[in-house]
Amino acid sequence: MNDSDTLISVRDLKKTFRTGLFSGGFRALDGISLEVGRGMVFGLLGPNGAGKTTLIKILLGLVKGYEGEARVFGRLPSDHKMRERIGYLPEAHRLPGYMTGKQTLRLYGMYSGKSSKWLDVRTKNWIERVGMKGSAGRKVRQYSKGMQQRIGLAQAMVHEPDLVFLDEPTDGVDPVGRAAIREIVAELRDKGTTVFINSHLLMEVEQICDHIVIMRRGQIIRQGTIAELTPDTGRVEFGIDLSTGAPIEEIVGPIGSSLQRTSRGFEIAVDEDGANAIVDRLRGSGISIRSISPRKLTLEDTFIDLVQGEEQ
Amino acid sequence: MIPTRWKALALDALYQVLDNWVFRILFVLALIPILLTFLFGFTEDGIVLLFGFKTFPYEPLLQAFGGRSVAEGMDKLFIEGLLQVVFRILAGNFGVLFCIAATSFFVPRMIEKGAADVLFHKPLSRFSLYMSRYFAGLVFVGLLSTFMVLGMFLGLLLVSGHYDPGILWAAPSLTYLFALIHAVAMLVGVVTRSTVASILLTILFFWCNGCVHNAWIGIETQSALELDSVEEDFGDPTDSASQQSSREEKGAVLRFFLGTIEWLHYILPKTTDTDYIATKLRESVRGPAYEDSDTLFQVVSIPEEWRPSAPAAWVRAGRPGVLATFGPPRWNATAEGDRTLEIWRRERNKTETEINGKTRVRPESTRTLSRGLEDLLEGADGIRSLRTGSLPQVPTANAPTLGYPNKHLSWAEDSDSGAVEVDLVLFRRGEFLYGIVYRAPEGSPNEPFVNFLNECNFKVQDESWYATRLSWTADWRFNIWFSIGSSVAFTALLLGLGCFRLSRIDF
Repeated sequence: MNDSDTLISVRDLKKTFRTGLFSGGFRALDGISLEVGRGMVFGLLGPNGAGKTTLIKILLGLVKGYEGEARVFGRLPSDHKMRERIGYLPEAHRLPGYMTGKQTLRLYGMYSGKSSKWLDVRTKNWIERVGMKGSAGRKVRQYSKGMQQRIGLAQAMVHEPDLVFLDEPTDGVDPVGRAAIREIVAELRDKGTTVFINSHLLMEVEQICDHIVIMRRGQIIRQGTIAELTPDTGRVEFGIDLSTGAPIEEIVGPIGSSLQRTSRGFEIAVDEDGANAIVDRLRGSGISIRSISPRKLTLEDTFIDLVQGEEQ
Repeated sequence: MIPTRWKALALDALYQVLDNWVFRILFVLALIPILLTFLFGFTEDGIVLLFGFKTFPYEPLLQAFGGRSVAEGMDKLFIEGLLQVVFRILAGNFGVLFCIAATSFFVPRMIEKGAADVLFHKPLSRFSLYMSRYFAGLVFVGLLSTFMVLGMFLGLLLVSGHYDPGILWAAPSLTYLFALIHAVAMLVGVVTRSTVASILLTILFFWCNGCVHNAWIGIETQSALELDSVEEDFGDPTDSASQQSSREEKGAVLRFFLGTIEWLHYILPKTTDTDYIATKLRESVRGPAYEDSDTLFQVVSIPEEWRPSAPAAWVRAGRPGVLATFGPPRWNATAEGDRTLEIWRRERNKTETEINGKTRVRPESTRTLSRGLEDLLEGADGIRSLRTGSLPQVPTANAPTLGYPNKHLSWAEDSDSGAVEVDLVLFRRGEFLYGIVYRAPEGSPNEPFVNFLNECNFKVQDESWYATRLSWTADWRFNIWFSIGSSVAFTALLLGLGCFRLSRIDF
């Protein structure tokens, strides 16, 4: 990755929160190093207390007093100017209840340095994009959690930042809203905006993200692309008609190993030639084949394996 | 910071204020005195309801409340009473407490988890955000007080015909008072992150702060009165002063207490001065025929026969001896028949006296000055019929806190234009000695002089020694600039501490 393509650069980042006057404190980050490039959708995963939010807050200048090096757009997080190019949707955020949704977007856009005139069209567009057209004139305190989340997302985007941090962006949002958020993230990636997502919804992260970091107890325990984190298991699932009561074990015979029956048919560890041979045998026995799918590890599988493995 | 962000901060403050339900309640409450000034007109005849629908004469009203006979200027008295109740008692005390309660949540809410994340990740310094909340509070009070003051001003002008632009000073004065207190609420808010703690501690501070300043004023007043009493009543101060000195040496605890009060007074914001400053500013706008802004001595209106003029030639040349130390007159007027009136003022001379090994500064009294002038006149050529005494009409009679008799000297003398009679009244206010001189051809009645004296009084009706002592030109302890400067410095310190604390918070 070229230096010019690196938006976030973190080296050996450590942060300890004081928990009392005489205690040693709580180490939230313990030597984190990572780089995030332009146009990436970056997923940050980890159990509660892993240090994900602390990392994001350090990068945004919300948490200070850290050790190591952190740079965003090549600047220190304390540099206000750099934050003009950043959008942030915090987890459990609280937007000012005394303003309407529309006023909130305009105000936060202006805080990011955009003129009132520049924001006129963008505000309207983003209200429509997040499905708040009919409610933008109401006070934020009258919004449901999902509506607040939508306006929160819009405030993170309205000034068209180059880097967006989304902390649990789909929290409290209905399925339609989630699909819309996924669509927005995909559009941002296409436009070259870097998106940094922190979420516990691993299925969504798997669908959206290019690169993933898994953290635990303030450290990175695994990182890579989706393909790297969700490898093939070497097993194939055959979906067949189970109502015939055919003796599968006999039909498959010695091909492959570790055959297991599943609700849709059976699963077996087999290579490509073996899979073809099984298809021939099933067809020869008059069994209808509904599906054949190679089994890959899900992100959830990888995550649970990693976290539980670390604990053991 | 680019103007857009300033605009955003201002908008944020405005939205926050306008949405505040306490603000709305106070806005409605502020309407009440405004409506009163529109519904009731105060005229010379009585109180007029609804533009003449019904008139209530003053006399029955006064009698119902145990009052005595109706005097001239009752309309002004009623209006002044209304203004005092609204601005000094309701707005200056209860109003400020309400405003503290209504704005104390600004900072704690800003730094609440969730709200802080959204706000503080924006390209704004924490200092700007903190100060924007401070100014939001000032906008809150500024809007309310401006609305109330302007409304009452218009009501009094349109319905009662009372034009007093000086009352408009009440709006900035109330905002200034709140500015001093709001910084405390902000600091408590950022340290404790609790709205309740912020409200309670700020009100406690407001109360304690008022106690400290009132205690200091009380101590200073008592001390000044004791010294005055010594000078005016006994002439030779040494004995009584030594008694006072021995009282002062009574205990280390008392000295420590007095010293602490003194230092706290100098350091803390002088909230109690706001009222006095507002009065002085108000009086400076109202503009009577003559006024002295330092002491609030005024000539309410000049009898028609008198015309203010340039000092007469003999005054400019100065007369050796009598009143020579006063310098040129501060005001003078002439009337037909070669009659002149002059008002003189100078600072009291101070002498140092050694009592019990301590050096005490003793300011000059009216009595001392009068004695010196008597000696001078008795020895001067052409001075005849010198008489001394005191007049009941002279302003010191309106200041019973001090309550010492003025000195009235009258004599006849020869001048270039013939024999004249001179009446001289000496009195004192705060750090100044005054002389009012009336000159008329020998044999003229001195009734015009007495009529003129009846127009003289002090604007401050609360008879407070401190009110007359505090001025724009007094020495630093009683100087309004010092009062404002030290209060603003303390406020700036609190704001600085608040910003520092905010800069250290991890959200």
